[in-house]
Order: sequence, then structure tokens, then C-alpha cells
Amino acid sequence: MKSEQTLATEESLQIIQNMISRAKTKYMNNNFYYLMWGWLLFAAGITEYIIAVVMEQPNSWLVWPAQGIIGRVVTAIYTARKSKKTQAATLVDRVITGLWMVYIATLILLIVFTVMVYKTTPTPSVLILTGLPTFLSGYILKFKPLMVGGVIFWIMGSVAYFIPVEWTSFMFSAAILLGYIIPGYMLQAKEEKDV
Amino acid sequence: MSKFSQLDPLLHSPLRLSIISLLVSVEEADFNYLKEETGATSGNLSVQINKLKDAGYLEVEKRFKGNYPQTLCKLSKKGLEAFENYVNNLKQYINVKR
Repeated sequence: MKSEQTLATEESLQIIQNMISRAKTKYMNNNFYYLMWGWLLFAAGITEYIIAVVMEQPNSWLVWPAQGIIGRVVTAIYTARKSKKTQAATLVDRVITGLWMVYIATLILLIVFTVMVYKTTPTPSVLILTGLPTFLSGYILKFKPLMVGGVIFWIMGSVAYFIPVEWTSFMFSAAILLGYIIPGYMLQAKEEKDV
Repeated sequence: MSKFSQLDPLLHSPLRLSIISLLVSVEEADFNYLKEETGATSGNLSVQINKLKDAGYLEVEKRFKGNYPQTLCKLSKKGLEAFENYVNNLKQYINVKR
């Protein structure tokens, strides 16, 4: 009877541990969005630099709404395909999603009024602002490279105020690569390893 | 024997325990997620979810996502307490074994 009890309790513990481990892999699936937007923004910054500085063409700013449209289309397609499969949400998912949503709302206001009122590039402010959700995501996930990424955004944003305007989009792409994309891949590798 | 029977019979089943353990970790999950992670058949999973729901351990919401029906499950406060009691009772049995 005691060995039956032991087997049952060990089996029960095994079930609980297995299910909790499986649930941890859930938010790995969101990395696609983060990395997709990261690469889009990186490409947009480089493209704007090439159009404005190398090719000396006007209206280079159009890359930004273009990347926004491309990003939204890709997100919509990916989400539609995903929603046919499974859905589960952890508290961490909700907090981090909320954080980036609030960031985007703040970002839009910042860009619109900086350009409209001060008629200057918003890039340095954008970089400094981006440090916040990047650092905080790393803090919530207990992942140092993302926290370092946040600091990189703050440093490069501060430096961007003192460089020629035509270099700011190049600086933006560099910050996205170092502060966001590289930590994003490191986080993905870590989560795959933990599984 | 008498101590063993104190384990909640509703949770002392592999599939129901799997469902509750998953929902402890995620805030909510849909039917397909639970099916994928537990490896259960749709019929069996549906029966066990209903048992847990009737006992007040789960909150179940049925809605539509686009054209697809979706069943969302969440652990209730009563379900979380039941799980915590279950785990505490398990720990006692392990201590007795040692």
C-alpha cells in the first residue's frame, strides 16, 4: 500500500512539474514579433540614410510609414495563422505586451509633435524613450542583455543629440541592432535552451 | 490509507491534474492549447474540463474568435486553493516516506 502511495505521489509531482515546464515555453512564441519589428526598423533606418545622404534624395522620411505598413501586414498575417492554433496568456505576457503598447502610444505622440512643432528629427528622443521598455522587459524577464540593450539606447540617444542630423538614422539602426535585435536573439537562444 | 484518501479525488487524476497545473502557470488558456499540451483527446478533455468547472475549480468562457468558436479556461480562486492543498498534502506524503 505504501509503495502504491509513493508511486502515486511521485507520478503526481512529475505531472505538475512537466505541465509547469511546458507552460514556460509559451512566451517564446512571441519572439517572432519582436525580432520582425527590430529588423524592419533597422532596415528603415539604413534605407533612410542611403536615400537622404548617399543618394541625396528628398522625402526619405517615407521609409517610416512604409515600414509601419509592412510590419502591420506581416503581424496580421502571422497572428491570423497563429490564432487558428492555440492561445494561452501568462501574466508576464500581459505586462510586457502592455508595456510595449504604452510605449508605441507615447512614441507616436512624441514623433508627431516633435516634427510638427519643432520641425526637427525625433530620432534622439525616440532612442532615449526606447530604452525604457527595452530595459524594463529585460528586468521583468530577468535577462541582463536586454537591460544592457536599454542602456545602449539611452547612451546612443544622448549621443544622437550631438551628431549631424543626417547621421541620426544610421545611429538609429545601430542602436536597434545592438540594443534590441542582438539581445532578442540571445533571449530566443536562452529560451530554446531552457526548454 | 486514511491519509492517502485526503488527496482531493478531483485532482488525483492525471488529466485533471495536468489541466490544473497548466492553468496555474498561465492566466488563461484555450481548449486547443490544453489539448496540445496534455495530449488528451477532445472528448476526454471536454469531459474533464466540465467536471472541474462543475466543482468550481475552473471558469470557462465560450466565445468566437472570428469565425472560430473558442473555449477559454481560467483557474478559479477555489481551484487555486484546491491545487495548493493538493501539493501540500503531497509534500506530507513525501516527508512520511522519508
